[in-house]
Amino acid sequence: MVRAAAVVAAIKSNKCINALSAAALALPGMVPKANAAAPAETASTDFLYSRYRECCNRIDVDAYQASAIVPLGDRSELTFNWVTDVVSGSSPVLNIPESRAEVMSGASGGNARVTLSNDRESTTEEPVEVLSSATIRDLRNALDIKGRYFFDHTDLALGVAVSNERDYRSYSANIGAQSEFNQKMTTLAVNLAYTSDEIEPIDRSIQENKRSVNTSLGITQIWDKASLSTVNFEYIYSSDFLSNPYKKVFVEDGGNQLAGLESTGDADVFFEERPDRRHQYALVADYVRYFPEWDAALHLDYRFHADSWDIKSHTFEASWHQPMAAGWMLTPRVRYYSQNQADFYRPFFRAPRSDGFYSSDYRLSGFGAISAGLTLSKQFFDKLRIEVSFEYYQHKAEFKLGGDTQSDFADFSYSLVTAGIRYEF
Amino acid sequence: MRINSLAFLLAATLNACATQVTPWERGHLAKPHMSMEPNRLEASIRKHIHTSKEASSGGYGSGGGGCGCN
Repeated sequence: MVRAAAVVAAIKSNKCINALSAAALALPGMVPKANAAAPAETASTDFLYSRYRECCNRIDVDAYQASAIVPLGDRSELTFNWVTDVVSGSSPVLNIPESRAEVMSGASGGNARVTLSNDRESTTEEPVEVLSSATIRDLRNALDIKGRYFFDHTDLALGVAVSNERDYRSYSANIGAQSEFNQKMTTLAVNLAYTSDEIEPIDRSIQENKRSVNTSLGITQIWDKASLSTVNFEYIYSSDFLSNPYKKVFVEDGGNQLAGLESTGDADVFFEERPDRRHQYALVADYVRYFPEWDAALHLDYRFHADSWDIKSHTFEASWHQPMAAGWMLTPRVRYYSQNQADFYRPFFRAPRSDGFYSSDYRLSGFGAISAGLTLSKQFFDKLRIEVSFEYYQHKAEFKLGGDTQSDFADFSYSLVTAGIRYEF
Repeated sequence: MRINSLAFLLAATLNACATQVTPWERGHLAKPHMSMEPNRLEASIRKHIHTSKEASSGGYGSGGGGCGCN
């Protein structure tokens, strides 16, 4: 009641920002994406081919996506999404101190391969990345199906998703609702999803499970004839096996046994161990504005993310959607990302930790990433649309907000090229 | 009842900041490049890659479907 009174007081004083802040504080929960809802008028289908290439002979992925939206009568629609990923290459699995690195020449791909030396000396120097020795070859197939039913001002959605890899299976179900009010100027959306994953790594005799619950609440607001924005809150709770079964850690003087860790067989090297609970919070704010003088649209996004592993991140994205003559559209975009490291992350460990959690996965390190891309599309009549896009992404420790916290040993980059076609019946 | 009160508070708050836009004035807002996600599949693969290369996830409302991405 006190918070509600604060909102009313702010409205009375007509201080827009204060009123919004007070309303945000009054919201009882967290959630995802609010979009103005209406059933599709005609069926449509999309195909997209993507070619992902990571630098330095690491991971390559060819991804094939197909999607269809099928209206069923006046009040419902079905959406199908299919993805096939063909993955090959090598991935970093371990960091070792420079003095323990033994460089093997003549490895495939022309790169020198680093392995662990048995010469155990002082380990106070730079970390060196060790890539997986066997080339990873994997095929991932994923399908999700969603049904939506539209009432006059509200729609309900039910969805299921399944993803299958040789060593990883994921099943999820989700339910969502969104409602328009305030003369359709405001849309409120709530979503709930449950995901159950089975993990069975190919070179370890373990069988693990992971569970996640996602809840989200979003609001989309039309501000005037040319602008709208969305704010989404999402809370994710994950439990059970949250480690990466292939990632290893180097613990100085760990020998072959260390409490709570599974040995890899190499002295001082163990499989990583992460906490079995994780709480994640994400807040996304999007703003879209139309510029009539250029018939163009500006999209601005910001995301703040925090979790119980002590990681905080900021993501900024901007894109400019510029229509041109004869149905062409050019969309340049930029993105900046920065995160600090998880509290149990180290490039390698100089001593055992009291909490028993260890990871040297570069994705849990402190770093920043800058990416930029361009999409070119062409609309033929009202039915057919083709598009191509390119993106270049660079991950660097020194890009982190507030400066570098570690050396550049884990820096990498990737490029992504896509080509797609869309047809509306 | 509490949800209705919340919706009322929200609507009142947003009305204090927004200009009323009638349905026939929404031509600009209805343009394809004014939708929150104009290139849906392309956005979906980009977000999938970011999730598998960075420690953050969530906030964008994408469905479920985990992966063992390396």
